[in-house]
Amino acid sequence: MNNPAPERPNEANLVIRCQLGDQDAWRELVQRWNPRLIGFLGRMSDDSHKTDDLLQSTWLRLVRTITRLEQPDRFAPWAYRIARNTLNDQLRQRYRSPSLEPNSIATEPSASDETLDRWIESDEIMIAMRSLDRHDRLVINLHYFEHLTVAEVADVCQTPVGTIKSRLQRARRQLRQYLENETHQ
Amino acid sequence: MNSPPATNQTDDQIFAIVQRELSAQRRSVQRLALLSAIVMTGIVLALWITEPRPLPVHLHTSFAAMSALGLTWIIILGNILLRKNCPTSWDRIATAWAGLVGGVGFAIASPLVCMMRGEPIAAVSFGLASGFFVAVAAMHVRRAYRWQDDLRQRLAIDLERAKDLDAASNAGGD
Repeated sequence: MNNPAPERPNEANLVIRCQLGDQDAWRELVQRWNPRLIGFLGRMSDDSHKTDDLLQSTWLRLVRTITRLEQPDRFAPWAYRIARNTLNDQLRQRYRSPSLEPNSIATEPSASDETLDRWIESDEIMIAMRSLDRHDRLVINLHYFEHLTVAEVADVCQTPVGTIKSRLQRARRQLRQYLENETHQ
Repeated sequence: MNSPPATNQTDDQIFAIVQRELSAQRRSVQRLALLSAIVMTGIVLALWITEPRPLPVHLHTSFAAMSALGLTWIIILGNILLRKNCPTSWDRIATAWAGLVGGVGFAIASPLVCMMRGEPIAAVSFGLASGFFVAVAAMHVRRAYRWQDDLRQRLAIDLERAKDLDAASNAGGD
């Protein structure tokens, strides 16, 4: 699976301008990052109705704590970490007050990498992603959809690189199995 | 790549939320509360120390409770303003200034209370203690300005580098 990193022109510059309180820079940052966060949170959340709340909370946290970002060139892992923490908080809240609706998608645990690549381009991935464990879903999401390197994913998850690699491997294997089951049915 | 999941939040709506969050009104009120908490705690401590002895236990308890309340407010507000809700470098500077002004207020009010109650030793002790707080607060102000200067410098360097790259690519094109 190839993982081309998208260009991030002047992202550090933009973040510094935001830290200095430049509203135009904030507008640009929102335009650049809102679609990415929508995609990320949408793929991570089981409940699409909660994505709006998650998105708002993530942006509020980003605005309130941007001055704590010491290295503006590392905005991407930092932003995803905030999104992840927001998501975790929501899950914790849901755990404390569980909803009556059951999770409709059951956990389903071999094709080649190329088949998986092709499949990743399709909309089916949204359903398949939900069959993954929360941690595995996060690493797949960050690495393949948000184009973060393994080291950056490790930074977001605050987990060693080796663990991320094994999670990626396990998640790929599960996705392949899911794909095979789907194609055989 | 698959289409992103549907959401009702457009970029403009999110930017409106961001803009509302950047507005300094609420943080200004919190800074004012921080400043008042510092000065009031200083006064309560000075009153407690200079109260004629022996003091009944319930008065000790009341003074201790009021001082603890003041200190708790200082910690909570300081944490909010410096860590939880500090969106720009200006906020960091403003909070540092609020701390400094509060410290100066503490340094003036508490020795004044001690002097008015005829306790020069307590006044000197409070003067020295508050001098330390003022020094720490001044250091924070300096650091906040230095951080802002550093950001501006990094921005200028980035712009210079971008100009150089543009010039190099134009020269290459010619």
